[in-house]
Amino acid sequence: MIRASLGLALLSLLTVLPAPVRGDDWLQFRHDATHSAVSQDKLHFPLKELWTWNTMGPNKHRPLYHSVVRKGWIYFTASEKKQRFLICANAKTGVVKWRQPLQAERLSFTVSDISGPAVTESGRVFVYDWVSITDQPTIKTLTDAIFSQAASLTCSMVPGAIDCFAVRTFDAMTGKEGSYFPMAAMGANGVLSRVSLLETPFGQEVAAVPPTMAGCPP
Amino acid sequence: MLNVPEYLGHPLIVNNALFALSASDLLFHWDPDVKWTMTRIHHPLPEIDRDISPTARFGGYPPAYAENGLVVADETTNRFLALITGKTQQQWHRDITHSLGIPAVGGHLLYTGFGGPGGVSGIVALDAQNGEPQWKYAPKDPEPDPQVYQQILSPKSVEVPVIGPSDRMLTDRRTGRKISALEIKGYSTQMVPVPVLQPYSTSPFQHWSNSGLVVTQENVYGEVNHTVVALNRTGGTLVWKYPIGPKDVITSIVATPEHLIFCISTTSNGLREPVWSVERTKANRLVAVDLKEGKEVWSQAVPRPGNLALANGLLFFTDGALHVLGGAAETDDQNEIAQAAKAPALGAGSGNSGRPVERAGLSSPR
Repeated sequence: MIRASLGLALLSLLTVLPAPVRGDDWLQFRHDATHSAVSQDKLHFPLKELWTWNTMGPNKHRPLYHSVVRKGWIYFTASEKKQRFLICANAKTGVVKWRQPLQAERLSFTVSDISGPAVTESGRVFVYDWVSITDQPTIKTLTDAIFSQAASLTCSMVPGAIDCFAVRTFDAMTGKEGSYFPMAAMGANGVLSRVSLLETPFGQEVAAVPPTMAGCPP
Repeated sequence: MLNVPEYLGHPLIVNNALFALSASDLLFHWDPDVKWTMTRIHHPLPEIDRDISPTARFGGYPPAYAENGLVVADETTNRFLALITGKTQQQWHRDITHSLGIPAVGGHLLYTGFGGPGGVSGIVALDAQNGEPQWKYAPKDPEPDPQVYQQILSPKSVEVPVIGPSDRMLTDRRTGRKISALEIKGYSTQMVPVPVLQPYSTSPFQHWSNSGLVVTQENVYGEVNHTVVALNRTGGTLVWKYPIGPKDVITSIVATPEHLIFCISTTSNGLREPVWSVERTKANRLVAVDLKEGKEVWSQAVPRPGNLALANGLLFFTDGALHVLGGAAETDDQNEIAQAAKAPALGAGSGNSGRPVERAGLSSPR
């Protein structure tokens, strides 16, 4: 009974918490696609710290070097204990709206690890992660969907298992997972089209090429 | 098991699609509702077989969106800056000899820092339509950034004959037996590693430690040679400059309609590093100056170098931890919320470790 009352109290409290105020969003790295890094919202100095997020993974791993904001909600990735999460919180208060566990606590290419999420105006959050898939129906469904979207035929095999870097998506408001894209979709042989900058803009080569041997992180 | 060793750099959102450059030579594009493409961008060395010429190394270079396409660059191997159109063709490309910073686009001009550690020896503006330089601001015109040649193995596809028995019969002179003569039945393709020399910058991927630019209606702002400068956007003339110390570096720079805000780190040795790999600094502080004259209006010590973002009248500083800063009005609102909630909503139930702070200044995350 007490627990139920407390639950109701918390529920009522949450309902009176103000909804985030809409301002100029910071949807991606450097604010927008042109990297202007300019927000239309003013700051009122002096500034004071309102809240912090300060967690770390194994070996003091902290991937939190970028955050994005949409409609008053902030999105970022952070490690905690042995897990990395995509987190959505109220930008003003730090109250968590949702958080989703990611498979990889750390991505071995540091720029991928610290890039943080990006969010579209329509409310799709992109985040980098890792996927391991062994379930055959899932692999077939995934690869069928990917092949149907391909602008050109780049891969003709369906692998027995997938274990690779991936781009995952989540709904910005609910945190519900959407589609994801494993980089292994390029295929085991990695045959992709190529643009050669030595050709003229007209009639330049767009040819299939074999995989590089330099595909791993620098 | 399929494990493709490809990783992506900073995502670029254009409408509903994501674009990114990989650690290697890949341009990735994905609109989850429509399609995806992956294209390798190749800048072959002259006079070398194009198929074995070393491939590009983007190092996750952050592409920027211009009217006609994406700005991409390799500042580490056979260096180039290019605009790739939506049809995955080049609008233009330029061979370059310097490191590059993070690109930004304003109107028809493309801006980027260039030269030396962090790509902060100068700022150049190019016409995004054709890549022609429009102006350059570089008080000490930097020498080309040095490169060395390293031997790598490039995959070369070679045709290998497939040998098999033919219909023609021969007699073995030793045994007298009839045997089938061999013939070439066809060809298969095999990948053979071929050694080639690849130019490689002695200080690769300087965009990792570049603070970026700010582009407003009138000016472009950025770090150049131990100053923060405001340059006229169309002509590149100096509007004002804010000097920083000889061992100071800017790690991030952003703006509101009235202020420029940046993070200054005083290094112990003057060397630039990406914020994520900085071990030690002597001091770090956030600084706000007014956009028009560059006069300092606010400063705050912070524990580590980091990146900045702005939204909703709040400043977001990420240095491995996230620090959210606001003005007096935002602070009052937040305190009321924290008082009312007594932080249960910030607690374990939601898995949130965000917490309001009760004092000015940033807490030490380490």
